[in-house]
Formats: sequence, C-alpha cells, structure tokens
Amino acid sequence: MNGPRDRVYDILARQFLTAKEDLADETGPGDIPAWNSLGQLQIILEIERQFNIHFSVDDVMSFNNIGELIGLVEDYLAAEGVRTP
Amino acid sequence: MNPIESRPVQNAIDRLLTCGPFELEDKDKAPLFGPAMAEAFRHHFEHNEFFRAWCLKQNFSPEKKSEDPAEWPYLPSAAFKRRNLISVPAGDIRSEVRSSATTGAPSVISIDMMTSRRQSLASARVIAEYIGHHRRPFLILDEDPAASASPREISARSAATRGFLLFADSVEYFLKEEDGGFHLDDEKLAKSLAEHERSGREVCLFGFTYILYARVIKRLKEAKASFRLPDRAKIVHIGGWKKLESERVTRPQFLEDCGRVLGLKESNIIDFYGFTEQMGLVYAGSGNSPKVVPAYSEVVIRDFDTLRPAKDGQAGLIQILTPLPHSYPGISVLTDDVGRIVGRGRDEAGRWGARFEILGRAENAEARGCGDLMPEIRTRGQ
Repeated sequence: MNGPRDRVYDILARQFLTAKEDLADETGPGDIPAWNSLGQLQIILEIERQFNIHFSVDDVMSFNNIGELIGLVEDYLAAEGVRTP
Repeated sequence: MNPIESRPVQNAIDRLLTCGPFELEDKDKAPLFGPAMAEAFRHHFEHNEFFRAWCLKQNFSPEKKSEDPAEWPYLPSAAFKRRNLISVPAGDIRSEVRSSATTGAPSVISIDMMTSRRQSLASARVIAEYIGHHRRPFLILDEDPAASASPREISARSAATRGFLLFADSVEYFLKEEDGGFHLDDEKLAKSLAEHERSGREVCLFGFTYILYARVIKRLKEAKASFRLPDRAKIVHIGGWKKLESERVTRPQFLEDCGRVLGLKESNIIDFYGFTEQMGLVYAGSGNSPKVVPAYSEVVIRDFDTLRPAKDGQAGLIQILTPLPHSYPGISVLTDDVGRIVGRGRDEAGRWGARFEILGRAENAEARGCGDLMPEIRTRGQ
C-alpha cells in the first residue's frame, strides 16, 4: 500500500487534473489555477476521507505547498500512532 | 499555528495582520494601521500609473502621509469599472473577480498570491469571531461552483461564498440550473434541514439575503413548516437588502421569521457586508447589531454633497480604507453604499472598533463621488 506522500500526490493530481510528475513538494496554490479556496476545500475533504483525520481551520490555512500539506497529514497520523514509510 | 505568525514579520501590513480583528483600541490601532496604509500607498503610487496620477491630482504623495484616515485620497468604486487596474506584473495575477454589475459595467479586480493570502487571513479572522473557530457542515443556497467555474475568472458572488468554505467540513448546494434559470431544490433542502435537526450537529445555512428569505424562509413560513436546528447553528447571509425592502420586508421581520422557522436565536443570524473592490474584508453584525470595523480597515462616512467627513450619526457615502490589496489599488475606496457610524469603542460583545450601519445604495453616487474627475485622469494616466 502506498504511503501518505504518494496518496496525497494522487489526490492532488486527480483533483487538479494533472500528472503526478508535474507536481513537487514546492508546488503551491500559486502554481495551479484550480488550487483556489474551492480546490483547497475539495482536497482537504478528500484527504480527511481517505486518512480518516479531521483538520482544524488553522490547519487548513497553515500550509503553503504540497510538502507542508504532507507534513501536516504525517503529523496527524503520527499522533494517532500510524507509522508512515 | 497562524501562518503569518509562523515566520518573521517583514513589513507593517503583515504586522497589522498578526493582530486579532477586534482587540485593538483606537490608540493601539493607529500606530499599526497608519504605517500599514503608508506602505500600501507607497506600493501603489510607485507601481500603478493611474493611481499615481489620481493621487497627484489630489495633491497627495506618499511623503504627505497623515494620521487621519479621512485625509488619505480615495478612488470611487467606479474606477474599477472603467479599467482593470493592476499594481503588479501581469504574470503575477492568478484570478480575476468580476462584480455582478446590476448597473453598468462590472468591476474587475485582479488578485495575486499576496493579496489572496492577506484577504483570506483577514476574512477568516473576522468570520471566526462571529461563527466560531471550528469547521461544520455548510448548506449553501447557491449553485455548486465546481460545475461551471473557470479557475481564473470568478464572479463576486462565488468569491464571497468561497471565503466561508474554510469553515466547512462538508458542503451541500441547493440551487440548480433549470430552464435557463436557477431554482431552489426545496425537497433536498428540507431533507437536509431535517437531518441536521436530528443529528444535533452545528450547521451553517449560508445564502444571499434575498434568496434566503424569499425562496426558503417565506415559503416554509407559508407552508407552516418549521425546524428546530441545534442551539449553536447559524444563518449567515450576505448581499443587499434593496430587493427585500421593495417587498416591504424589514430587518426585524426577517430576523423574526428566520428565527421562528429554523428555531434559532436572533444572535445566531449573522449579516455579512463586503464589496468586490475590497474582496476578503467582511463586516459582520449578529441579529440587529451594527457592523464592527476590524483592525484591518477604517471606515469614513462622507457627506453626500460636500464629500467631507460626516459627523458620527450622520448618513453619507461609505469610504473604506485597508492596506490589504497588493495587486490592485483598492486600498481606499468610496463605495456607492450609504451608511452611518453608530458607535465607537468597545461593543457589548467586547469587540473594539467603530460600529456602522448600512442604509442602502446611493442614487447617482458615481457622479457625486469624483466621477467628474475621472476623464481628466484618464487622459493623463494609463
């Protein structure tokens, strides 16, 4: 089974209709036109559904790129005792 | 952790944004707001030819900064209808917001990442003060924007809605396109309201004032239907009252009917005011309370005839100053809206800031609000 990093990349690629290879940890909302507040909500809801976690409002505002989003997901999983590869 | 607070503060505008929206007394706000406005004026003066010409026409330059917000020059909102004013390289623009243009041409506002970030943060802070800091289900009386929206061009209506999505952990939309128009899906809404009544989850019903009342509350009232939503559920409504007033629906009537039909206290019915030229800045009032000006902006009321600052209590055109827009010079805008200051200092809920009421829209505001100066500026400016 893929780790959280791969799964977050999959979610973003599907949501923004782009190839995973075109995304990087540094990619942020400014790089993808569809990554606006609506796109942000959609990826958040999908990540919450897939990982069974629940972000706060501050969490949703706290990341500026994919790498930071992955870090946030890993923090939640670590807090719940889920080992990440 | 707040994203602004998590890195070194770099300028006066970011410093202002580290403050809570309603925690600053006037004496504490002035030393933060003044330098932030000066910084914003300098940026637009240096990077926007039209804005520079406009300021010089009024004998104002960034060096002549004043402590009094009423002395800073302002652009009439009509300026944004005539041209797409930008203060950054065109390549930095990531979206354009268009007003609904009920009269004349639409306003067009170009947003870059910095503006988007500042406006998102400011609006989130104000919204959180009124509805709470957590996420909850949103029932939105509008169409699903995912169905039709271009990521680059956003209607002001859609942009206004999106600012609230940060507080959603699920979203349902209840307007659907049918026969070339939009219709409320009554059945779906009634089902969802009943579900939330049962679940006890703190839900937020979000809609434009007229649609909310005319298409939902009035119909449920006529059908003698009612719900008892959980205690902390909220109604959030945005948009003008003009259409409701034309149907002789007063604010007390609106509040009473909303409260009765959905089982909510008036204080959980929150009216948000904002306008396209300063998208992201929102002014909220619970129930019948006036709107409170947050730390990130200042309101000046101007006399209809002289355009001089009006006394507190006197009605006039609403001018709003804010240092937040970076990509367009919407930092000091004279709106077409009429309002009056009804109080200052700390309100009953403990919020610091000037309190104002919106009384409606001015007729021929553009002509009164410096529209006569625009042609001359156009020939000299951009």
